[in-house]
Amino acid sequence: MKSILKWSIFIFFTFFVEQIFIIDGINFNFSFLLIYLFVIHYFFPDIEQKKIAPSEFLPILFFITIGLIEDLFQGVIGPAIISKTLTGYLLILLIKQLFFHWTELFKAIIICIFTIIDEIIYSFIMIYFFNINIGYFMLLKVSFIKGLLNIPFGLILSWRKP
Amino acid sequence: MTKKTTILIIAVICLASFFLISYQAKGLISFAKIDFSNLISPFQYLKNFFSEVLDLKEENKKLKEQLYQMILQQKSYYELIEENKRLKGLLNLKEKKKEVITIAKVTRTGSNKFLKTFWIDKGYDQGIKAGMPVITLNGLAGKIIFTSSNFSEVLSLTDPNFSVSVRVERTRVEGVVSGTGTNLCVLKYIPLEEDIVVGDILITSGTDGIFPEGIKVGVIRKVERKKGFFQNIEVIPYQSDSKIEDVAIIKSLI
Repeated sequence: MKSILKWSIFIFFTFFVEQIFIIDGINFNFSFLLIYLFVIHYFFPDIEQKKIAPSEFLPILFFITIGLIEDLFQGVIGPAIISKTLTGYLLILLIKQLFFHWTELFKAIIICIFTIIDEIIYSFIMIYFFNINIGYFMLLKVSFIKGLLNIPFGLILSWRKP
Repeated sequence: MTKKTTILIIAVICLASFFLISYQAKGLISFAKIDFSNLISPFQYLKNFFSEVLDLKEENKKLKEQLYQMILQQKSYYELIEENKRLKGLLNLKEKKKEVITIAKVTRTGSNKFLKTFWIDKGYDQGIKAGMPVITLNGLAGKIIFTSSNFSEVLSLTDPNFSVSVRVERTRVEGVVSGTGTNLCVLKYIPLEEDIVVGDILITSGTDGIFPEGIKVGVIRKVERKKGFFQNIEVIPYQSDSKIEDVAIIKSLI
């Protein structure tokens, strides 16, 4: 219960910040950070809570919820559900199947690349279905900037984790 | 949960979402949009209040100067308006009035992922509807794309998804102005043989059925005549995105 309340407040705060702060027309993609943090906390819990084989159902439910909230802010339901679910699942696959030492550099690369993947999936869906007029170079540039912006926040929030 | 079940759940969710998106894209269903405007408006008002107080003295001085100039010009304008009315009456031309719905203040920049938007502090309670043109004292600023009870989202003139039918004031040639995503716009569909020069003024033509005619849009900045059917023309909008503070929402033609 305490954990649900904690996450609810964190989600509300994240979306509030995401909606308010815009730098030169580029808004943040902090919602991906929620997914990253949830995956980290879920698959690398503290020692006393350690599970042998954690289920993937709860993380997927979380991804869908985050995607749905983001979609509600944009007024179109669906694109963020798909992008967040796919990106989150890719992150789970990476975490479960690769064994490596989680250095800060590796975490930074993961945050940046997965933010870009999330942005690109979302953007392609919007471009395909709604004929949104945006240049591909501009799209890559904006996605990359969002990926870079997420790195410091992601590193601070996942400090010494896993 | 096995890996196959997980993949199945993801596939079902993606498929359902795709159906939902396609229905929304066709306009068959639409969902309400959450916005934090009501929540953040007290902070925005507080911020605006302090900045306004600081600017008030300077603004007052400028306005007084403008007022004297206006009074001097007024007399000659009245004469011109009367003369214009008489001439139009002779020509049986109907004057299309630009009906101002309300005046609004810009509260914040929009958080839409793809569109260059900004929010204003008036909504459908004040009679604002989606599609209505938004102007400033300088010229066209955009159009309403979303309204809630007390706030509205405006698509900026410089967004690539914005288009307005325009006319070159000097030559009366018609074209379409679209945003580029930067601070500039482009004038499209002007044939190579048309006489367009740097400095030409663009006004709305009223032929798109949304924007009333005669609103100032921008000035020609650069003209390129390359191969193809049309000229490449850059336009500087009269109203810069970053300097919008107060706007007027006017009735669309539809």
